Amino acid sequence: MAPMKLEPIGVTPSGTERYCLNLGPQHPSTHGVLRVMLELDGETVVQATPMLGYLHRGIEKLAEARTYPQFIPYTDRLDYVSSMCNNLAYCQSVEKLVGVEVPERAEYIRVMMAELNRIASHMLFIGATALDLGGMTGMMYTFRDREYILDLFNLASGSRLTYSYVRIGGVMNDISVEFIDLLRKFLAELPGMMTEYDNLINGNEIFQARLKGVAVVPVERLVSLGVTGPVLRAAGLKDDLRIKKPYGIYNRFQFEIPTGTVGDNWERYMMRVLEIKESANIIAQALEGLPEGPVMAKIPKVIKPPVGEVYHANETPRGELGFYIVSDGTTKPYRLHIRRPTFYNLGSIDALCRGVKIADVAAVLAVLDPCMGEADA
Amino acid sequence: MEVTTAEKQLLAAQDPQSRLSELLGPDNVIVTSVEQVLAWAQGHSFWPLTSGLACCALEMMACGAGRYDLARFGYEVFRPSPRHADLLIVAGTLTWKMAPPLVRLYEQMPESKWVIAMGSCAIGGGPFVDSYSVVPGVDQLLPVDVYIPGCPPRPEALMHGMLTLKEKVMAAKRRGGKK
Amino acid sequence: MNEEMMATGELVSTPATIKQDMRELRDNPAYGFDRLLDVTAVDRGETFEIVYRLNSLKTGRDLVVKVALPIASPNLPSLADLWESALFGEREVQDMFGIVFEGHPDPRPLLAPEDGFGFFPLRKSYVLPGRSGQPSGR
Repeated sequence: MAPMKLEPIGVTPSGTERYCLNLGPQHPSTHGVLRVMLELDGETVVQATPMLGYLHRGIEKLAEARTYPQFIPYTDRLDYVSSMCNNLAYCQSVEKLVGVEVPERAEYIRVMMAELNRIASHMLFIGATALDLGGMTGMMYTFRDREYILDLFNLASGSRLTYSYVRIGGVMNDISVEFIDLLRKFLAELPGMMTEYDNLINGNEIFQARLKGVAVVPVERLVSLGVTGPVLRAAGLKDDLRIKKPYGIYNRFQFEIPTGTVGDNWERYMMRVLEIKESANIIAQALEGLPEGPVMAKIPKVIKPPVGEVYHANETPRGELGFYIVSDGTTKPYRLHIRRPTFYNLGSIDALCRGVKIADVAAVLAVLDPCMGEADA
Repeated sequence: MEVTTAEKQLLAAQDPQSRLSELLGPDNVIVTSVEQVLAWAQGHSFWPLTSGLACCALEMMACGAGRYDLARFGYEVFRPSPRHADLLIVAGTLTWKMAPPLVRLYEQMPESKWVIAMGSCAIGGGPFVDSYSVVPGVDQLLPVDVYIPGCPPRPEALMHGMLTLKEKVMAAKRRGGKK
Repeated sequence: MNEEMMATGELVSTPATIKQDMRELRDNPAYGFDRLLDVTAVDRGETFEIVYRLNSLKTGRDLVVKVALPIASPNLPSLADLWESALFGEREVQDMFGIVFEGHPDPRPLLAPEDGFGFFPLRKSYVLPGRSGQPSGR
């Protein structure tokens, strides 16, 4: 047999084919049961379609079968990382509907709890982002520090994750002297924790290189998508309900709202790091001004709001959480709709992921900080 | 005074060192079965699948983190792929939309495998039991070995559940029963 | 449209005029409602009431736009080309109530399974079946 002749072939342009990859509901970096259908051209994402509904529990329908106080535990389980903030938004909506004046001490306690929850949620965010980018150590550090906050919540409400602490008309029970001492101790140690994260996570060159300049979307597009919260603030808009439409007693506190300039993944990440400092500031001011008094208003045992409707929104760590309650005069809501920030934030996945590499999709999902219990309701 | 066999057994049961030395005998040899060694190995090194569905998943993560530390039992290796995992901890509410993927994950796991139902939602639907889209308990679809009550169960409860599963795994092999 | 809307913060529209009303609300610099925060619906018995929640970043004003739809033919035009948040918001209302948004570029179920629930959960005609009486175990 004659020896094989190897002839040089001319270089021909090869076309690429689109490949469909399913980032399925079970995946370490989907932050819950989120499914994203990725269309890839090589390693670049051409289209990303989020598919929700894997944790749709029918909370809005269940609300029509529960009385107003009975619904408070369901608000815990919406955005389970920041339960206090959800409780607060719901209770303030019902109080608006019924016309209840919350005692001063309860208002201060509510602010402290909501801001502590914001710090806990952002710490979880930092850890989860580090974990998604491959740095498991980051998760260990932030979870260890988050445990201090959960100890505080445990002391006040009895639970670590789903508190049902904020009730219609006030809060569940008063905070003890032990709580205040532990809180002061935590606030004193917090700057040390943040320095540790700066050295370990934020200051890490590789971490920064993975996030800087990735997934920039013009701010008008984000506004049109209905995105709220730190993702919108990273793009440069100072949009925070705590200053635009202050609820509770937020208008009594001085605090900054961190905003970004470019709106890339790095700034979306840094927004939450900076917000932790501001929340600690608010808690310190609330501690100083904490008055004596009752923690629950005198409300009827059976809550029967007048016929009407109300919409009230809070700024949770994820964005604008709003409760739209339509009452027909009975003890159960006629219709309860929840304007969920993660639901609308996830609508921006396609806009954020187009043009990024597949490895950055995990980073984009991480800095969006989705919580599927809230997105699906 | 002569120590009766019964008393000897009682003392031996209380003192781990003497039990071990009794087991080992004078030649430092334990005679046992492959089943029992396998059960001992499996029970001390469950590799859970990262199958957190809802709020309970956060307590599962907290259990794997620093303070509660699953690593000291050998259980901290959470595997993302079902092919590498042998324990499915259903942590959170199972909806009918998520049920086919979850059952598929269970089927993809190689034998021997176990299932822990963590939290009220996985046990029996939890607060969402009368919802139109929630499966009233994961045992409608999968065989559950250990139920951990709570909403959400504390990380200590999850640890207790996993240690209970370890006892179950080791006891089944000792009896020669089903895994 | 102008004065009472600014006073009450609420506007009532109709399925026929909703598209041009919304376009006017978005584009006219006097109004400048550049974001649609929320789309939802309420089952009022004989009609569905679609509730749109608009917000203006420039003026900080809020506006609620309500449209009444007959239950027999719940169709109205989609606002997805005006605000992208309508893409997700309208799909949720479609899954829950069965309202058809004509012209929506991607009308697949979002929260429901791929073939839909088989019913429309948030309609008053659908009653929750009560505590499940199914026994546990296989």
